Amino acid sequence: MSTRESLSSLDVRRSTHSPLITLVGSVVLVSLFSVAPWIVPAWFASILMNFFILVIMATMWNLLAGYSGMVSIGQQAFVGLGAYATLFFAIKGMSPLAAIPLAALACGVIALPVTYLLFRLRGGYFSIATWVVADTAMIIIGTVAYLGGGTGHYLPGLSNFDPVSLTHVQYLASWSVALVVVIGTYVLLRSRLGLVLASMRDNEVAARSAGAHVTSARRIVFIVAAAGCGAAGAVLAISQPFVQPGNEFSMSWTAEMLFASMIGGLGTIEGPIIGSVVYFVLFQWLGQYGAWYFIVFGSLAVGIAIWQPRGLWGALRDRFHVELLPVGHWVRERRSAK
Amino acid sequence: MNQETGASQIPESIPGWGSLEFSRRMGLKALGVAAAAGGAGALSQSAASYAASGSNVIKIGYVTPQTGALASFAGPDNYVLKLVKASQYFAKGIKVGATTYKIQIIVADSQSSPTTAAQVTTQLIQAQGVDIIVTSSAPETTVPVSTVCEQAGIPCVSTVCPWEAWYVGLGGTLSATGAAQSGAFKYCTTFFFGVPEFVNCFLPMWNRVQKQTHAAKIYAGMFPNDADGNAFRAAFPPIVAAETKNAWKFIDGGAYQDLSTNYTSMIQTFKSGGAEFFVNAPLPPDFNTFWKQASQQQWRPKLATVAKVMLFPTDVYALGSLSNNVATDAWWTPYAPYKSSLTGMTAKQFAIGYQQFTGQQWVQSMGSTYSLFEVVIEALKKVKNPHDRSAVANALHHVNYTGISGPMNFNAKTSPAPGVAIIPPVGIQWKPGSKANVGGKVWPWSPYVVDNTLNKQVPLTGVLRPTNK
Repeated sequence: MSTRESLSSLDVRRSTHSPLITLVGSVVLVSLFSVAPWIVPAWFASILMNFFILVIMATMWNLLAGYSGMVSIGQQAFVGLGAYATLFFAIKGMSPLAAIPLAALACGVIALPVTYLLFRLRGGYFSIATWVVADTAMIIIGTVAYLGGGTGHYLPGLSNFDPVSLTHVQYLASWSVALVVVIGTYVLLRSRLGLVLASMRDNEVAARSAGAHVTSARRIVFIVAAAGCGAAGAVLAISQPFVQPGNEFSMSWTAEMLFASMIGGLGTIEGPIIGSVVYFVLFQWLGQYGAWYFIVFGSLAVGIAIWQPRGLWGALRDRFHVELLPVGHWVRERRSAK
Repeated sequence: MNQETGASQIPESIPGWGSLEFSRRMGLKALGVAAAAGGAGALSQSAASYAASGSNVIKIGYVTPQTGALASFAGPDNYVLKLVKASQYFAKGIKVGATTYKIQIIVADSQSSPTTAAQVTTQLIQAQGVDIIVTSSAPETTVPVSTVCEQAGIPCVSTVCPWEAWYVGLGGTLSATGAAQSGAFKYCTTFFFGVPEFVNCFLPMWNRVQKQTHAAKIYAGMFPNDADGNAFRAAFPPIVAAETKNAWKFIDGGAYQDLSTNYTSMIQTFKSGGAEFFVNAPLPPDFNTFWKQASQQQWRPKLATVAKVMLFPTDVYALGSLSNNVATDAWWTPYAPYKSSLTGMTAKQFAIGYQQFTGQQWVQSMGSTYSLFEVVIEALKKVKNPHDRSAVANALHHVNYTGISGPMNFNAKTSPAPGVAIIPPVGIQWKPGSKANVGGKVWPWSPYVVDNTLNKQVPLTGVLRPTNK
């Protein structure tokens, strides 16, 4: 049978290299980052902590825009709601750390009805509507006196830590949430849903015609991204630890997510992480030149969008044929079949 | 107690004084301010090891918003630093005990971001090993910097931030009327003023204009739903009511959203309530929008006394003729009879030099920035070892001197909290420039001292006039 012969002459693999390398590399990185606050200077640990918050947000934004074509410019809604959910539980007497999963859950629950509103819209209209959702959420939260209104509220429940261990707790919160989010995304993309998402990313009409439930896949992704951003908001609240509407619901969160995903490469797991690294390196380096960093960031984003729409990671992957966190399959002709 | 505000609505303590004022365009936000601040706790040990070292250089870190939304506060930095560095202690060193120490100033830009402010402070302490940190300009800068210093055990002097915001930002609490309730800080000190001084600066001007015009004693408050706005709403009307025995009626414009673009309903509230006087604490662009719309909609209060805006000539030029006779507070003017404690230079010479150096009109933040370094020298004169953090911090808490910003006592009986020196502001009005002003150059708009109730040493240079006839 010619089909079977040709099939057997193909080699289907996930990794471009031994999975052992990925595994060992991951274990080493994870252990290094887990002990980082005890070995790196305090100011560097605080930069790393902010970096992980951006990694969480960018990874979530990439799921939305990179895989499902939903360009949300209102993700700060869920960052803010996550922060405020944490504040709410903390005022009720819960430990803010225990409130992180609850905040994520709350954001997921809120996101479900929101999808029925937003999914009636497409493209630019969808984007603008997400922004409206975010501003509405901010204005509503700003009127709740229990949560501090427009003034904001100090996040209780962290005063029992001394300054040094508080830094460690804050760092570990952001690092562990980032780890869970990246691993979760990896698992999600390797699942059956991931296959649907990859097909949607490549060609939505074709995916639909092949029987993929595009709308429900979208809905799940929107809810997951809301929960992820909610967790980021919770970590943000813990890291500050002061919660104020204008800051938590700031448009700049979405700008940062967008920048990191775009620079790094949409539609890949590695892209947003690399984009976050670029963002933080540039931010530290250009900080001393004042407003120049806005100009450099803007030009870089425009340049990448025009000349390298697959982002930095896209360029590296195409050139060197490497996948650090493989979610697809590589099909090659088997040499031994000849 | 004025019924408009309702005594029951006044909170036990004023929330959010310690919060940081965030505007949406500040780029990377307050992400991890306190985290970075907390991180500094880990530095106290390394800081202590620096203290033990016998270096004969005293390093002063200066954290200032040179870029971003607050950049106008830092406008005089270069000029002030040039003068300070040329003064004898900084040029030739200061003798403490038997040793002569050189003084080095390291400047760090906060980018108007609380996060960056905390990070650069941590870096100054850890990487540069500074002995003292001075900082200026709004809670967004002074609160995170002071928090880091207090936790790291580095003596700190701050200014240009209402003392209440600084106090609560460091963890103190205030009573309903805004008095310090609990909290004392070992390493941090500040000199400026607070809400009571705003009231006592504005109220005499209202009374005088009210006598001239026989307008109704009704004032409008434009207070946004943010930290500063809510703090003013909580404290300003009760203090006015208490001081005037409820003679003045307050009309609240409502807790609007920052960066709103339409103030029609607020203006209607003020009009229908018959408000003749106006006080506010908005973001600068919001006042610009509001004031133009108020003019278009024919609401013209007899006197506008604004806080937080119209401090700098550039804000005023942007409003053009609508700036005429708008009043605000000034914590420093070149007309005061004060001299530099470093060089003996007069306030007037200081301002004229600035105008020659920059080609721009003097700004009030130059005085406060200069005084930061005067205060440090005063404290260093009183210690045996400038690297002894506790001794320097203690000396800062007891500084009592007169310099370019006038008499300043950090340990006065009248201080609202430990380590807080009050410099009383005077009332100014913006009017077209004149040759009679300092330097003799005519600027489009200049500030004139029109009310010196709080500080009689500052002479009047103009006549208080109603903002609108």
